[in-house]
Amino acid sequence: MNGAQAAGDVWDRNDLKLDGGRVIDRRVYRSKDIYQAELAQLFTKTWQWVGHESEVPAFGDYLTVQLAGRPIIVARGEEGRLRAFYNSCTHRGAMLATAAKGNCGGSFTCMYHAWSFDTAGKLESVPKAEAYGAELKKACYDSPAVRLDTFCGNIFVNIDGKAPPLDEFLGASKQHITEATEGQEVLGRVRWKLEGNWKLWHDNFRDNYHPMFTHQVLTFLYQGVEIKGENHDLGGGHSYMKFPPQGSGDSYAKFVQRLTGRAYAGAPAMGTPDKQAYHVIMAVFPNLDIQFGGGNGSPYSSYSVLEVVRPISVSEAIIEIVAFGHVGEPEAVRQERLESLLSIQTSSGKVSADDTEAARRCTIGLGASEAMRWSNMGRGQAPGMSGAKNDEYSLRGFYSEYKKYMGDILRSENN
Amino acid sequence: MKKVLLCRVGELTEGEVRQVSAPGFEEDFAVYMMDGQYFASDDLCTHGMVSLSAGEIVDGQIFCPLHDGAFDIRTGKATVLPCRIALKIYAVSVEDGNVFGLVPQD
Repeated sequence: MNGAQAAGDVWDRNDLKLDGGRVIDRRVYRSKDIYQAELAQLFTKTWQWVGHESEVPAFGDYLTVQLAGRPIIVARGEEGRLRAFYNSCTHRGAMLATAAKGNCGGSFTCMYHAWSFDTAGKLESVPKAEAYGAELKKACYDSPAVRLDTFCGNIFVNIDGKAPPLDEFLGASKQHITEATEGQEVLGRVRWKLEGNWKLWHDNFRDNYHPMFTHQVLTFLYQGVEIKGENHDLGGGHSYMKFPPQGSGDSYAKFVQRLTGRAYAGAPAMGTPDKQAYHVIMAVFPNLDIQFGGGNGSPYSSYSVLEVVRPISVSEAIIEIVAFGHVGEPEAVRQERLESLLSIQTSSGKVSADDTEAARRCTIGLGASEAMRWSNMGRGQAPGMSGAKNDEYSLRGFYSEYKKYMGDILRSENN
Repeated sequence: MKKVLLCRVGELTEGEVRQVSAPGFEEDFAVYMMDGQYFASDDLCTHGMVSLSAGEIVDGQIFCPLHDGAFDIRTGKATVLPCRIALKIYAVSVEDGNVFGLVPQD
């Protein structure tokens, strides 16, 4: 042979299988069966971030979300309590609320036959109910409750009534969720559709090998600079990356000026000086990411942003970016922060647009999975759960936890 | 303040409620006669999309014909669930045999 091996020889090797998550079978991004198993075993059994208390401060405030195809309402009741229930009329199934968020005035009235439900999903009133005679047992027509709990103002729901409590699920990620969101409120959300499997987006968040190559806006900061920072698998599928601002803010300012035609003064500082001294990208299993930190002059100056990615099919997902700001901060600071965030981290942002394109190219490229079955996630070979910033402890931590939820289907798909 | 002609004295009998579609106003009004006095409110129930004037007056309250919630006709306060949000009520003046509602202008 002349050194060129058939693709099968190179890739289809037993020692590259899902052992310890150092490689991942590319069918996890493409198989409809695996996707169905994700809905049934992962998205309906894990705690899912759905919003922040600051988005629903008053009685009757609500937000809606779809998890694994299940429409859910989160609403605040008269006594201030938050509850979740299915966004589906118990009569014929129509959605009770269609807006992403709003105020229901205390009742959700179905547009179809005007059955009316309170903020706990309890059936309050049925128009022309006398036609049912004594047959209609109203209590049987309450919309079933969905488990809800909050941590540091963040609202999570879990479709599985038997899953471990939120506190236990969040584990070591709690400390960092607190760092990211304490004393803050949500300023708004941006959503867009990803033409790709949801894990491509989530993998990207745990991957700090790509930024210096993928994002032109950042390459300026990395030229000839030693890469500093840490990458930790926190257990439970959660992870934490921390790194100081790199390079010079001047090169970033120049880049922005070239792009926008106006001078860039840098985003305002926020948080403690310690917090401004580094950036954190953390991931909460299975589909939530939070970035915070900042440093003067850096493209990531002083922000907290949360991202959640939810699949709508094996090859499509909705990405939602949620912007945070400090409670009581001056309006001008807030505007500056939002502008900075929008220019970096949303659908058309200088960073997110690159990531969207990378996911699109992967989606098309993964069409060759039969010939190239495995994706390598082996950066950082030292034992343990922590390594350098651009190691892949975080990614391996994700897939190791993922395997626990997915179980047999990965093994059977693997043979 | 704008004066809206709601009805003429003698048109409503005791315990009656009627819908009034007044020129220049997008939303309809409801006019009530109760204990020999006239009252006025918005006609649209604050809970659902239904005319309160199709409902019934019981014990000083107007009961919504759709979900059986109710409001106090004198104060507008929601008295029976699922009604929770107060109904807008209007002062009434009777002049020369005409019943007027007094509608504040924004």
